Amino acid sequence: MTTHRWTAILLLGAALPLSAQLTVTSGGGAGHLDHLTPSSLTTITGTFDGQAGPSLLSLSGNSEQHFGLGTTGLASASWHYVADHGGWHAELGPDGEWARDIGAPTVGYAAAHLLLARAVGAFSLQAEWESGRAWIATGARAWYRPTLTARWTAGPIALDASWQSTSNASDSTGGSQIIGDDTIPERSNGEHQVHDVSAGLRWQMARFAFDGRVGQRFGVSLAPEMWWQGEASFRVTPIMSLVARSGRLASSALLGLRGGASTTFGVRLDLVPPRAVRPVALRATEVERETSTTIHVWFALPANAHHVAFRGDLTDWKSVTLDRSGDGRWETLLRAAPGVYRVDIQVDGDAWSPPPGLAVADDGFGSRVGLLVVTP
Amino acid sequence: MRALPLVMALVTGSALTLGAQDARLGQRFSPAEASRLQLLVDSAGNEHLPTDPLVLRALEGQAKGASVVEIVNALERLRSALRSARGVLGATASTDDVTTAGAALEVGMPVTELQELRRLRGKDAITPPLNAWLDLVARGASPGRTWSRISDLARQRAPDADFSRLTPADIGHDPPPSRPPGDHP
Repeated sequence: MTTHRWTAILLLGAALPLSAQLTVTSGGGAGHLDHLTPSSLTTITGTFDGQAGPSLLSLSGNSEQHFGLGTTGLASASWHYVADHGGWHAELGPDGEWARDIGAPTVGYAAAHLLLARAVGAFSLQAEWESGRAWIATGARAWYRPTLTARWTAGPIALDASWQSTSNASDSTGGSQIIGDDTIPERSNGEHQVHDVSAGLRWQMARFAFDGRVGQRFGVSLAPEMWWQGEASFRVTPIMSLVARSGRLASSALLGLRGGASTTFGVRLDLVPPRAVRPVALRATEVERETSTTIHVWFALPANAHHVAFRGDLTDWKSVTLDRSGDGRWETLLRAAPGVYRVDIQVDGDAWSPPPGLAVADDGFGSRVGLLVVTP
Repeated sequence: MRALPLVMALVTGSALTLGAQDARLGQRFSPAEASRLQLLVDSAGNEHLPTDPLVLRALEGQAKGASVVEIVNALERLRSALRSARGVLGATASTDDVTTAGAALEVGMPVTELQELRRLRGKDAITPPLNAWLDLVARGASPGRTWSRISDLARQRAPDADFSRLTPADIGHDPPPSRPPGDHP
């Protein structure tokens, strides 16, 4: 998998009425792509995620200019139908990726993607299946890729372990190279298969965030290869962050993009703040009195949220995990008398932030806090 | 035997002193930090200010990784807001009223509006209209228009339920009839 990509962002935010996230990152550094000489590089990356009802659209891409060598680029798109029911989360839809390595023709794939996830407390288990057709140097080939991920979230820390296997379909049409990386040997039955096992850590505390992953690639007749990537960011303003990224990645098993090492420093702009839920008919935060001493609280959040925690005056600022309600919102029961309470939520291990739809106040500790009003 | 009552009194007194520290502070902070914060809480209590909001603010700071200095500063700012609220509402105001008024002041309600609301509500609690103001502003209503609507209801001696029934649509599209057009902020 290459780290050198190009981005084309389609500004479709206005067409998506519920939530959207748009980021652009630009930076520079040094890289050493496999089989090429080291070089300095500049990079630009962009991502867009928009959700309207059950439709989730994701676009991303990046480009890197390696001085003296050339430009690499990668663009990806997916459009998933999202459903949540009784603690289960499912996504189904098409996705695709197009890429161009230095000195190579444009390659790509189109696939159908099925994702099924289940969260229980701080743990979640996610299974994915992708299957499609790839257009690579040796022609069009069928392939499939199952992925299993187990995740554990505790406050600002999220840990996960993942296994992914990429294979050509067993009825290959021949040729010495089925999936893109020609360094992956053919098995005796004509299949090509490569496995990646990896562990990831995400840590987010106030303005600082770290995202790291280390993995091992292996397969039949394939020398094990370790790969890793880490990204640290510091939010300077609500929309601007300083980002440092470094890694040594393996090649892209499916498209054959070369691997390599690189280190870059840059600036990320959150042009549309993450998870900015726009006003909709359903209030983003809903409170209903259950009994004289308890209230029922619902939070409407993007459907791709997997784990949501709540803390505030009502919990003595101890974190409690929210449950997924039947209508896709996140809910909990709390003891509360009428009054105004300061509260925060945390989605998928991201930074704690005010729940959508609440008044927001300076918390006096360098961040913001939501104000939950409980009426009699 | 004569010393027994004295010993008992000392033991009981010590226990009462120890018990006076909020257990939540003792659980989340070191003994020295908890004592320092408890002093602030106690001083607020001596001013007849609600102390639970101060304890909760300290817990919030601890949960957010703030230093004790930052927490002390935050507690002093909150104590100041509560003191302002108490000053406006008077010594007989309920804990709920003072706490809610402190929250409104922290969010940006002008002291003059709080004074006006106190005057309009007479001896009635001001928590219901303040809660409505906070809720409506939270839902995107203009603070100025919201204040106009709330103050008009208070002026009409409307029941508490009328405040909680207000929606942002009422604020945005139904300006108070008692004021001429253009008089709204």
